[in-house]
Amino acid sequence: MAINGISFGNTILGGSIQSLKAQMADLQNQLTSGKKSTTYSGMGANEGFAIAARSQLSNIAAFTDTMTKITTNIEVANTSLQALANIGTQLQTAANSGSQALNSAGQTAGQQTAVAEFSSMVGILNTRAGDRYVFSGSAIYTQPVASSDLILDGNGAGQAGLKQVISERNQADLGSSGLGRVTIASPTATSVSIAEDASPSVYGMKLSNVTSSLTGATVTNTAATVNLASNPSDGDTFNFAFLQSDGTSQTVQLTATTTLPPPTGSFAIGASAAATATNLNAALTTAEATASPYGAQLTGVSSSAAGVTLTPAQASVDLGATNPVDGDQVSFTFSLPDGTTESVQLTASSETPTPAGSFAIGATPTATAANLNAALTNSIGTLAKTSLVAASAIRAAHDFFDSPPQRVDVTPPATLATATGAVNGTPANTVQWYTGDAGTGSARATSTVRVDPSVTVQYGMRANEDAIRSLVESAAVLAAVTTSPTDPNGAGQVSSLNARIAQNLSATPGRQNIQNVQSDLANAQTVMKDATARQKLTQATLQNIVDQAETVSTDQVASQLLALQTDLQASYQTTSMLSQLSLVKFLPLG
Amino acid sequence: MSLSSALSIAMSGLRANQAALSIVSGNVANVNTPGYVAQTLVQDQIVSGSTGSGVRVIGVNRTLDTFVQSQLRTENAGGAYADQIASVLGQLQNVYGTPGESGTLEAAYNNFTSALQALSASSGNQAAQSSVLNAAQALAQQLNATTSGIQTLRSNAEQDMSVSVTQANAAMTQIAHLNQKLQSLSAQDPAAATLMDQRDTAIDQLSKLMDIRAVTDSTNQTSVFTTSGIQLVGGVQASTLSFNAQSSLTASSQWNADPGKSSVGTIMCQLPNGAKIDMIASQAINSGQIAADVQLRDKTLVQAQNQVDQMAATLASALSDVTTSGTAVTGPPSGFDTDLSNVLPGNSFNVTYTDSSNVSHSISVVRVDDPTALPIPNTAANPNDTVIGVNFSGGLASIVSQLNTQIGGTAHLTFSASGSLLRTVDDGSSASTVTAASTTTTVQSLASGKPQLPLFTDRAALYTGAITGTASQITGLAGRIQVNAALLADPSKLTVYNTSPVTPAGDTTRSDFLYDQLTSATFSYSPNTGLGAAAAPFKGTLPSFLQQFVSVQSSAATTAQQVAQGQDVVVNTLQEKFNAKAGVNIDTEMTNLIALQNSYAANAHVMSVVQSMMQTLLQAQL
Repeated sequence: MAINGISFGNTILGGSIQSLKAQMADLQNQLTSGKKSTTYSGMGANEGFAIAARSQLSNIAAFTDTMTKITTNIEVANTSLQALANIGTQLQTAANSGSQALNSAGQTAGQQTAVAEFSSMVGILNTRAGDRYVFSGSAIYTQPVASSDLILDGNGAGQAGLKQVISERNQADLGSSGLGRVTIASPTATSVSIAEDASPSVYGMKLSNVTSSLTGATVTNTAATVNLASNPSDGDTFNFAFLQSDGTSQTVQLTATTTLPPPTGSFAIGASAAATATNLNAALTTAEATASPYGAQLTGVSSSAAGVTLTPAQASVDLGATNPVDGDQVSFTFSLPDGTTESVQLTASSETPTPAGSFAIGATPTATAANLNAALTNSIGTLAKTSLVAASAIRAAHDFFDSPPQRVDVTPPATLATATGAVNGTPANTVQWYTGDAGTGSARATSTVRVDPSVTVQYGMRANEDAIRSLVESAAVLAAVTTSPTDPNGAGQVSSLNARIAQNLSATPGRQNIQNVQSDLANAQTVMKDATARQKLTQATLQNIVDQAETVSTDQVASQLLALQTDLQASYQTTSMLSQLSLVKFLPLG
Repeated sequence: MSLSSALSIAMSGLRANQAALSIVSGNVANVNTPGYVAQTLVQDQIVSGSTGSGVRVIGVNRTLDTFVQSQLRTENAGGAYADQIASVLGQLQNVYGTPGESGTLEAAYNNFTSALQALSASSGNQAAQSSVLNAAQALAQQLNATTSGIQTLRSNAEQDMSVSVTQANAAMTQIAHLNQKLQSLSAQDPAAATLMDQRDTAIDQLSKLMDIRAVTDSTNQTSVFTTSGIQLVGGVQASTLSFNAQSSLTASSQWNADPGKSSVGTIMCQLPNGAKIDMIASQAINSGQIAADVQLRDKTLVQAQNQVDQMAATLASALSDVTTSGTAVTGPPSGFDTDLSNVLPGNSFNVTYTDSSNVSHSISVVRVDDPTALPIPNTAANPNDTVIGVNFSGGLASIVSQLNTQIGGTAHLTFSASGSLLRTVDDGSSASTVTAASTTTTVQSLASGKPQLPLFTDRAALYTGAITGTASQITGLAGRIQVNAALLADPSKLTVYNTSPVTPAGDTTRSDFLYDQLTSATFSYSPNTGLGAAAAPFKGTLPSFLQQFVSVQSSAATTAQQVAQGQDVVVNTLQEKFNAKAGVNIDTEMTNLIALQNSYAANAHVMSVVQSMMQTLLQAQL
């Protein structure tokens, strides 16, 4: 501001003094606030860097907050996972070494433990970290798992629980004859045949193989074959659905063709319907072998051509004209619903009484065949009431915990004992055990958070992940299955159930287990640790930039103040002296 | 020779001494009077007989250095200009707040992004959602407050102009009035000196308001002109300035050379002959306080407003605008089908094609429904690109015909309607190949299935950047921006972007998108913000834009402060130089006083000697 007053007669001097006083006030402000100025312009040329640095600092502070929060979540999740893993170990121990003594409720001591542990598993899966459910995937405010009572018993108002689903499956697998949906017959006087009762069908035991060392006997093993009512035309398609042992379904499509040789996935149309059917069956066998080498069940057939039927698989032993000798063996292998295989092996015996697992050699092959028929019926009946019951329960549990759950299709005329297909359970008729997010993507990706401008960590979990679900299934089966204490096959049922549970609980290469989930979370923690370390370094640098641009050194300001004080004093002194220097002062008054 | 002539000479000496004494006393008395110029006595010898000569008082002289005076007046204008700019820019700095503390745009912005980051970590959490909304509101309010701060400063400039114009008129009238009085007086008349002092003071006052040139002619009449040549005072006639002040300015109050479109005051100068000149339109005032006010009101502060408006507009668009690609049409002729149904006024339809020399061109067709706003300026930075405005209100057929007329021929493209879609294909001449077509539209609903949402609105309306004949929607947006009321009513929409199926609570897609847009996405900013140029607009993230314009403003304030200080030194030095000559120096006056005292005594002594000689003569005769 230009000084136009002339009180000292010297505007420059007055201006300088004003400027010195302004500087003094400014320095005093700096000294008390520690900052260069209160405005952007006062901060000097480096203020732009300070603004950018503050923006980054604010981001880093937000990331730090985020990581604190996420670390807590992960720690809670880890504790839960560890508890689940411990329960798995305890269940396995119980299944391996448990006594088979049944209490009045029809359960062993190990199973009773499982009831309690299943309930605590449900509790663990409903763990919350802060306000979010840890095992719900992205539906973090939805309780992921229904209560253990509801899961096991249903709600009595139409929603079936696990126990009911196991019971229904049990009936469907055993069939009305209790032989596991196979029929045993004698096509000729000297032969015994065993056939699946329907095809395609998902229930019962499936013939897998038959071997024989019976002297003079002829063994035939026929897989399910396709019958054609009429010759298909070029381009007709045939779809075969296979249920694999892991519960997934796979479809194989075969196309009728006139091209020779037929390309992969096709079969040649022959001269007659029968000739074409032969080609189709050959192609199907090949396709089946590649599609599901083991334990697959044909569960459905659909075709663009009409009149397609299936002849179920069957096996037969024809003793022919000669009787087997002592020690000759015949063995039938079955696939059970849970993917395990069991064999029924019968030995020809002339001992009296005929030992278990043997059939008596009769006077003629016809009499022997009748004995074999009876022994086979007995052994298969026992197998059905022991291993099949256990396998059925395990499979039923697997279906129940599937999404959507699979129920026995009893659309008339089918009944539980004659059902061949499965149907999706609806929320109205079946308890939905998992109510969290059921997306198809990676469970870990359901909770993704950025912890650095370019780094994200994933820490989501779903209760229906393979590792957790298989653990839940095993505990639930043990908790749900009851065995009648008076059932002569009870001990067999319990031991085959225990054996299967123990097997299922042990780690299988290629299948996800709890440790895999834990190591995923550990990776996330490591990433965050690295990010934190990086951010600490950056933070220090950025803070330095801000400080350099905006803060003042107290020592420096103090010394500047001192210098200014000296200047100001000198100026005042000079001004005062100048004001005295006037001729008026030296003129005589009179 | 006679004794009586000696007596009368001594007598004239005494008279001259008395006159000189009265001037000294006048000088001493007026030592502190502003504008007073020290006077000296002008005296001459006169012959009063055969020998010896008496002294005659002719008048007074003003001890004035007119060269320094005219220099001082020029610098006065510059000084007032620099002071006013520095002072207002300093106040503008206060509008931006204290760095690192709350109440600044950067703090509000950083809080907003931090809250979004926290929402990603606890998505669906109501507390986290409402803290995002609170931070968004704080940011919107900070933008509103900055706008109102800037507009207050503009209103102040307007008021200051009004006051300045009144002062200028008073000074001009006074100059003319004094000219009239001085007409009948000689320059050395003591009364004239006083009047001239007053006239100089009035001219000095005027010189602080605007840049002027004062010319005094031989008849002691001073005419005043602006340096651009407009006559303010011509002898006894003064021009009249008038200013139609507006009570308070908003961001949309803009000066325009067309008085019908201008919504701020302008300065009119009515010459004595009745002619009227618009002083702002003719850029007649280039310095002084008035020029500073005009510069601040119409340029500097408008640019500051453009900066916050651009920030608000980018903030709103970044979160709400979605680009949808057209579906390819296999030819020939090949091209794309684009759905224009969601293109709102201000949204655009974009086509990219390559010409026969394989150079890529892009055409941006902005929906402008107000025919008075058409054609819009081509703001494309790249010379290969084009921005045109098209009226969409007439339906697809009308759009097709406008596009074919405006760009179809030059770009070798053919536009046609394909059902409800716009089909863009080449014209079959192989001169061009359509490589892409898309629309950029503003998402209107909070749960459209897309992560974009209109988080910020222009009061209750959607911000689309619409252009009308009177104004663009961007103008003053920072003063009107607010958080979407629908979102405030339903904060869960910060997470839920889809209603069927409902977005799960843990889905962070939307909050991640918002965070990315605010921290790492880059945008292009209009050159009217003072950053970048039309050919190379400033591109960067929103935080970097914020940093840039705050830095630009702070360095402008610093520079203005330095310029003002430098100018003050110049003015003070000149004033000092002027005062050294024109001011009253007490020492000089005292010295003169002693001299006068002695001279008076000497003259008196001469008289007493004459008397005694007379006495002697008389006694001798007796």
